Amino acid sequence: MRARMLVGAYERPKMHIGQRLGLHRLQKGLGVNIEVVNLACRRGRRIVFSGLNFRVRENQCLVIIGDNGTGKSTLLHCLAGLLRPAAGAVAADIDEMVLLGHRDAVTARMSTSEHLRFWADFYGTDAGGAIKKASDALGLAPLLDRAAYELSAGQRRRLGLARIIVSGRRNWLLDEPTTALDVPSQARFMEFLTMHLEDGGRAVVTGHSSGGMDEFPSVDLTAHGQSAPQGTPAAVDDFTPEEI
Amino acid sequence: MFALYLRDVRLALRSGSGTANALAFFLLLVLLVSLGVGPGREGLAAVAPGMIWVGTLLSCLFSLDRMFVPDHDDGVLEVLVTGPAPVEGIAAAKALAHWTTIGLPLTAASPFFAYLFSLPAGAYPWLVLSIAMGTPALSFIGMFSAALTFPLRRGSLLLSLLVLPMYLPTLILGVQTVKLAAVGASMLPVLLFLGGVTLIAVAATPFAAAFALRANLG
Repeated sequence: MRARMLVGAYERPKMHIGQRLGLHRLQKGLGVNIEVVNLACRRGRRIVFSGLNFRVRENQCLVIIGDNGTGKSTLLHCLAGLLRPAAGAVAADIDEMVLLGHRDAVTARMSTSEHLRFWADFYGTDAGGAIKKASDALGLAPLLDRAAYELSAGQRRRLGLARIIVSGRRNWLLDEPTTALDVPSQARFMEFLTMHLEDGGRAVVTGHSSGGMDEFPSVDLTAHGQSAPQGTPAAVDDFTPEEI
Repeated sequence: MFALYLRDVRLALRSGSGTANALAFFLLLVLLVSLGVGPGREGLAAVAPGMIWVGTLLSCLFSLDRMFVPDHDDGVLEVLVTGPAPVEGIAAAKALAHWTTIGLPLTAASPFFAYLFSLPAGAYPWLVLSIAMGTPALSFIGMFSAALTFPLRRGSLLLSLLVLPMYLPTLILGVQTVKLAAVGASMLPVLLFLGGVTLIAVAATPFAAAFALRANLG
């Protein structure tokens, strides 16, 4: 009963200036978890998934799995504040979200170090420290002077991932982060993801299967599609709204 | 926001884009028009104010579809919009970078173009002033239109159609300023109107563009 009322409260969040501008449910503070309550998202006219509930606390990583077209990227866009939910709500500190989409946000005519410096300035983080940390974590040091158009797909992906570190933000939204990465880079990625989580970070990561990330809890969006039976969100027992 | 401005300016100054293209386009226009109109200073001087302004306007127009499209294709734009800077600020930074790399060089080059067109000497300062005051409006209005059309494949036709009516006040007032100055009449009221259009554009378009950006990215 208690949980029901809270869910009801989330369904009609107070109209907020940020919300009218497209940023749904702003909430501030480092301690704010990522909470998703009865979320449905729309791509065009199609509802891609609905009835999604989960919560990602500090030190937690949630893996989003699902077949192609089940809305994994749409969910991340929604969490990042780019997309308004069709129903339900997302509660998170929008200023702590950082999104790595399926494109790397890499500009062909800028060098690796220019990218890192620009992102550090843009996110207002300490340029020297952040760049050092990111290039160490991803082995970018030999690539610093190279223009992005000279990089291979995997190297571009590493540069894309470097932005996530440079941003200094705590809630990582990563869309298939290990695409195009070689085995050592995948290991490096897992290493810095684990480090980030130990530092009190949160992460939502998508993948086709939870390959390589079996240790993390996962949500299968295939079960939330329109063809799937709608009902209680049993698949996410660890993240049911009762806990909220 | 300032970081974004610097990045955009640097990218536009690199080879094969922005500034060089705009200036080359303008030179081509001068060459073709002087060949088309034929020899004789009087003929050229008569069309000079109009041609210089049309050239400025088209140079601005042709560089607009590079403002958001490459960043959108690379995925940079969604990162910018989800970053710490307000979307209005991002829109303004983009327009300002466009003006710095297109409007400002065209302003600086305008006496040279005026010389090629045999504009009467007394009109030079007013030409430079009118272009300096008018080009920010071209950049900001253009930025707003580019923000509306960037997700469309081949959106540049729609962009041109959208932007032209909004460019007309600046064009008419700009040309009128130079024409009046060329015959030694008082052009101050027209120049002030031109400045007014620019102020309105600079004040209003970042907000309108921010709405367009959010709607297009969602």
